[in-house]
Amino acid sequence: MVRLKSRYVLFEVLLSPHITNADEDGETFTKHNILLSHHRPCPKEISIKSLIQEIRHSLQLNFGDYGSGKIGSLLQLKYFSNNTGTGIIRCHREDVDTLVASLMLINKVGDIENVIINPVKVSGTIKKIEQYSIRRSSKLLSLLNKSRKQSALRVNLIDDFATVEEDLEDS
Amino acid sequence: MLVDLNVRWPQNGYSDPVSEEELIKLKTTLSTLYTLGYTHIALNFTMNQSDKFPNNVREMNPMQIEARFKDLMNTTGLKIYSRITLIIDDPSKGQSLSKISQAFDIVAALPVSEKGLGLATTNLDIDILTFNYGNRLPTILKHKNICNCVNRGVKVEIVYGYALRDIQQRRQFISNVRNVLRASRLRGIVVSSGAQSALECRNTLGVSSLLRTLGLTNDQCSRSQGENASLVLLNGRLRNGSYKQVIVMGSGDGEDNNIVNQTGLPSHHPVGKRKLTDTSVAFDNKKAKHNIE
Repeated sequence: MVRLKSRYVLFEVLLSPHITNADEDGETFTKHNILLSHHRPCPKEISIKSLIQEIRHSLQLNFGDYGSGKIGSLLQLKYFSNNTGTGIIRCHREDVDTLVASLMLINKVGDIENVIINPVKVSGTIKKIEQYSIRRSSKLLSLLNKSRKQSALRVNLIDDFATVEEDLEDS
Repeated sequence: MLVDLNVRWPQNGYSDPVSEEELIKLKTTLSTLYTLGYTHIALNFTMNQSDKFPNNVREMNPMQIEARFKDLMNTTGLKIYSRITLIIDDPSKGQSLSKISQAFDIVAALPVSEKGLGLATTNLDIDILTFNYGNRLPTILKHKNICNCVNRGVKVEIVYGYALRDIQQRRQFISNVRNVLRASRLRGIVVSSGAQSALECRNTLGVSSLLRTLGLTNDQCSRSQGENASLVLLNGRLRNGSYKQVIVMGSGDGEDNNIVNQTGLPSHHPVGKRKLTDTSVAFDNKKAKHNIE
């Protein structure tokens, strides 16, 4: 008896970016803003149920009865978190291409339009994909912190120069 | 390195100006591409070949990439290039390419008739051959035409943005891609987004699995957004900035004369084939040998 071979797909839901809030320098397109506006927490309407419904719909639309039946035989949404917008899907090993292609062709989830479902990684075990997801999130977090610190540092430097000038005037 | 050779520049001709809103929308698209991991992007300006071009070479490129996108390029490390796509209908009305190609980094041809296809595949000095994937192809593509074209160094472009717009276009896109893949024998394929808004961008994993279901081989999938596309960039810029497409003076990592495809931020590992030092020379080995002989 051969074991059932499956693949796990890590994906993230990117909401349509509205980059409007300028930072202290009046710059809108800073790294910080770009990253933040793409990785917003998902609204409540995006849930495991609505996502799996949307994926099945996309499979039916793009690959017909044959595709949706074949892939739907082993299709589970193992995990989805609204805070980070990441999730893990399980599917059969042969069908992973079709599944990822149908993920890519999704434009909306339920009533929420303007959504990109961004497949990030495919792996054979759920453990590795969890580890990868954690590593990826912490990397993103450190990048965010770094870019915020940089802009804060710039402001500090400007402040320093201001005080130096004042001292000179006093003496 | 990941390359997207086709992001729509929001202008249809020289007469209509670019509004501030459209520029912000374009910047949002670019930042989405950055989040998805792209490093090199070309903005695509589409023109009919029979339309009137300004006489002055300086006015020919409406993009002003340096002035408009400098801050974005600095913060994200993206490299942004300009590209022109000429819609070729009746070859007799066309103008000479040499002047147009001086103003843009990359030149692409989009034939919409059989004659136009014949001209684009044989004579024109272009970097990319592209099609309108939302409509029917102008003719049945022949191996001989397309393969000749690929052997000359021209790449054939697949634009996946059409697959994301509506069902009719998606169906047409799939049949057209099948045709192009068959005619090109899977050689020299470049994939780009053709994004008109931020929501038409997808990352490589999604794109390559879509193309794999359409019949492109695994290695060509990864090459179509990396190696092949960067060759187009290199080739296009060598046309303007080099002596006989072979020799370039200047430092590889300089601001003004940036020929080699390096990523913008020093923290990224250099992706160019070799790191060039000061006053170094970029060689295209084959052509260099030929010239010496």
